[in-house]
Amino acid sequence: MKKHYKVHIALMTCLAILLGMAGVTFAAHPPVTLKDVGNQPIAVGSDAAYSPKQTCGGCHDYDSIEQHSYHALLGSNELKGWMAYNPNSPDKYKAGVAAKGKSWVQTPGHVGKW
Amino acid sequence: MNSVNDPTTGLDCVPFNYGTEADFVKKVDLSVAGQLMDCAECHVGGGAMEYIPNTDLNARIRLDEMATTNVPGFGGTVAGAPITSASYTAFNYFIDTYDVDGDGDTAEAQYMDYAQAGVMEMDCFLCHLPGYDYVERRHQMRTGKLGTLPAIGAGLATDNGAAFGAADFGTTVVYDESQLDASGTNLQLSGTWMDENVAGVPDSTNCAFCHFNEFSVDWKKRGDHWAPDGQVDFQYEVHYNLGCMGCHQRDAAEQLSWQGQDATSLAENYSPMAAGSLGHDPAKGMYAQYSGLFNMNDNVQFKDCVDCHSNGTAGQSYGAPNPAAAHAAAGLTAVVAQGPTADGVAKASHIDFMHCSACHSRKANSYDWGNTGNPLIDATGKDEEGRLTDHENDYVLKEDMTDNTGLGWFKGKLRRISPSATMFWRDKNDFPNTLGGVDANFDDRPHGMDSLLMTDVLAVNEDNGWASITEDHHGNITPADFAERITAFNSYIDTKAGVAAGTAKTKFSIFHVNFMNQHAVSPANMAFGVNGCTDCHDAGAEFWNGSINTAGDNNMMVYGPSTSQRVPFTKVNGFSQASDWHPNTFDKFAARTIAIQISNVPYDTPVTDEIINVDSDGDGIADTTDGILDTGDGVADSLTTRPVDRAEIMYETTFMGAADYAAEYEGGTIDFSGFEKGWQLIVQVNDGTERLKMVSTDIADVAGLLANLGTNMTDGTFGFTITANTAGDGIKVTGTGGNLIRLRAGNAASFGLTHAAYKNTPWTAVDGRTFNGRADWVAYLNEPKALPAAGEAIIVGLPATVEVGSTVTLTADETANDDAGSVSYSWICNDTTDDPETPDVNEGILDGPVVDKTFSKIGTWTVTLRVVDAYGDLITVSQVVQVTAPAPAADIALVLPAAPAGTGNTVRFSNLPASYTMLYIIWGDGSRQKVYPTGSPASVDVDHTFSTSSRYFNGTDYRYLSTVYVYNGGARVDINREYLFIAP
Repeated sequence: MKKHYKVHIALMTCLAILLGMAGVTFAAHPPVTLKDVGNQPIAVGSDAAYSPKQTCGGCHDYDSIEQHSYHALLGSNELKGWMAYNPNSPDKYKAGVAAKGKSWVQTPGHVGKW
Repeated sequence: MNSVNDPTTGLDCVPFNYGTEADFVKKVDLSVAGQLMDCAECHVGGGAMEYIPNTDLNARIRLDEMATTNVPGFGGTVAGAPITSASYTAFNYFIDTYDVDGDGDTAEAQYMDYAQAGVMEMDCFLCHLPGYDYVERRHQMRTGKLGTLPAIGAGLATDNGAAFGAADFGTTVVYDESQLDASGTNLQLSGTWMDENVAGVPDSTNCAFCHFNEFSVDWKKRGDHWAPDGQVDFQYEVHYNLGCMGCHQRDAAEQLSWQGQDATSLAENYSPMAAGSLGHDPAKGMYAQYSGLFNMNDNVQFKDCVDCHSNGTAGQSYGAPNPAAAHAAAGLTAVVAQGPTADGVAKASHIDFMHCSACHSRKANSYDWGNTGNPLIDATGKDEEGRLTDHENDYVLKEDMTDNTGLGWFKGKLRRISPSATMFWRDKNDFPNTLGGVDANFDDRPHGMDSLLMTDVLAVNEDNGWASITEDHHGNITPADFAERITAFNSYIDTKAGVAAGTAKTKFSIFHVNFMNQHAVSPANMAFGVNGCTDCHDAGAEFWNGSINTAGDNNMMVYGPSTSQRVPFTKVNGFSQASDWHPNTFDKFAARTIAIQISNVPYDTPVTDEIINVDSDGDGIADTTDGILDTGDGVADSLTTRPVDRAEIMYETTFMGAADYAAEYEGGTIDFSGFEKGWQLIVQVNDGTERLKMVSTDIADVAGLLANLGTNMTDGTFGFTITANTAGDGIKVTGTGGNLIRLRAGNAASFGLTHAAYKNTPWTAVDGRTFNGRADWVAYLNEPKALPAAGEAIIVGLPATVEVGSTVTLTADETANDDAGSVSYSWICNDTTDDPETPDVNEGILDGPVVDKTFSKIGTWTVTLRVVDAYGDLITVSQVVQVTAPAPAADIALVLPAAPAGTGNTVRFSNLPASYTMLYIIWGDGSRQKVYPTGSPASVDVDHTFSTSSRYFNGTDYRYLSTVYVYNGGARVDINREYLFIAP
């Protein structure tokens, strides 16, 4: 009796795991048609380079991703004033570096000079 | 580009038209089009690599449309105009440093026709496709083929061999149909291919290509390094298996930005990046003294060490062990230090003021597998790849990063850092053109020790067949080697600027930035402190002791004395101190910049190589005669670079702080040499106001300076005056109306007023000793340190009995805690209860080791001494005190002659206290009475007829045991009890 009980437990556990896994859907990505910069499908045999904006952007919000990603910004944050580079900043950790006689040159890296 | 407020149209982000090819070539080194072929090797596209920036993101013009579409503001009208090849802007032309046309001319301007080259759209697969071919993408990029990069990087296509400038050269490829589903009409990536190859969460190998692989940015900044292929010993970074996104994936405090309420709505599936809100980005850290991306999104939703190891609440925490118990056992939670203060009061534990990285980012021994990193970035010439700086040659890199890090302060905490050094050419002649200066980088702003345009450096190098100076001279560079290049640059700049020969003064600087070292976390058994206090507190311990080489392991540079060939990077602390380090290298209070120079070390060139032997400072004395490096003729005739002591990055040579407010500060002589424009005078008044004035032009004398500062700044309007100093060669600042003044840094030294901004400020250690600077302080830190003993609570001298109303000094035995470090004392006594009317005040607690306590109630009370030791533990000891009535006690007696029992008698209560309000009399015959005398008389007579009950009769007299309680308000201040005898 005890043995049967243990077997039942094991079977039910396996079943629960299987049922649980059945509930997990591994979302299959649909096929992706490559498109060129003009948003036209690239025909077999064509040599037009595919455009991520048009190809991925058909489903994903390319514009928002491109507009809101610091990996794409190349200093735009600083141009928009997010970095208060200022020699007289009240935040001593943000006070910028003014070259001697060039205190107006306060932007870092790609958007200016030290 | 006028990034803000174009002077003609008022628009932002209007591309600047250089007008001619000649002017473009003269002034530009790295345009946006140039960045697309250079910097973009580690940028994913989008942004300015796809569009001309505009504050309205939806109004941006794509680069491949700008030649045919109006670009707002361009051409001087709000409507704008197309930017064609006839206009020379940073967007459509570049300097051909990679020689895309193969004509050997790397100094020419090239037109980037994006309609043929393509643009660099944001390439999703760059991050989301493990195995992405960055190397091939980079090779394509160098040829200006921008539209082909996504297909080639993803391995879907190969280069078709089209030449730069040919039709569609950057927008066409040769597809590898084996990677594609070409069975239908159009090319497709099958769903299976997508499922098998694309990673929703970026794989660490994708991040590593730009961040961690050898020669990439984090390797360059601090020697951080993932394991190479096949490497199995990951002990140099215990978090390797979690991958980058283990920490940089956002915590769970906020909904992921791409999950909207309506899963089908693209509009809802995105919360745009803004201040405090991440867009399509991993979370990033924040601990940087300097960062090119130090913005409002630093540390947003980022999982720091504590978020997994201590809190465990910020999203996935991976079952990280909590180190609290281990830290406490090691004494690291004991309050024994001061943190970012120096007032002698212990108020912080090691854990309080040290970031985890300080002890746990110890770079493990990795020499055997060749963990190089953190090189000198030699910007004197191109590298093998053709980039205009060289940080990859064998001479500038460090071959062994084991423990090659230091410590720095940031926001009150000590953190692990790595100093990154960059060597570059600049012009020392920063006088205005009118005074014999030269605008060496041709930006129309002649001041400021311009760094030379990299294209100019390249042009000179190409003319002479030079690469970077460290590569060309195999890490053994002499003053003659520097002189050869300096001569060439001076000649080139003079000619290009059209100024007299000898005007340009080319020098080099080596500039250091401290990058935080948060990666390379080593196992706990390698942490500093695991072997006890001497892991750090010992002269031989490589914690704050020891040094870091920043010039490269195989690089010896010798140059001319003084500033003949090398100049310091800048001046800091009000321009009073030269430094080779970033000005944000702050002391622990963030009140002062730590000035560090390591490239001014006297060096004695071997005699056979002696080139320079001059009196550089003109004082008539040979520069150095102490034979510091006596390998030549005993005279140190040149300079070299030394490693930086770790302690130098942590502590100033002399401890200094803000000057005191004073009625007046008189300045010294001001050097009006002709580059006063931009000086800042910042006056602080002790009423809390601060006034800043920037000198707007170059000044000839004191009168001109005062005029330039303006009336309000000088006439007392702001609570101070500024006038000429006594000698008339400088200025003095004087408070008015009783105000006191001082200066904030600004250009205090330039105004001869350094002393008005700073003063020597010794530090007090927790043992009470004071220290004036780094050397003494480090010696103090190196002294043996022991963990404090547990606290003890011992009461001394407290009497067992005290008279009510008396004040007793409660004394703790402080000597018992001499070895217990920071200990606090307090006392409580149960004769006092908390007053509910004053919940913020605990009337029952007396703080301090020695306090006065007044016992105002008769009774038996318990006095308790409470000691909180450095570990936060509470130790108590108690002693009982009997509070008794004063002696002599009040007398009770019948007023004689007494009347017979059963008739009225008078009882006299005498010797009463000086202050009381009520007598509570228990007559001893079963009756009680309260009496309220006026004015606390010493004696009170009370009439009473005693009961004649037989129970009080003793056979001779009636006997009554009478008691009086004397109250002063609510406090019982006296008591007496007497037998009264009355005859029948």
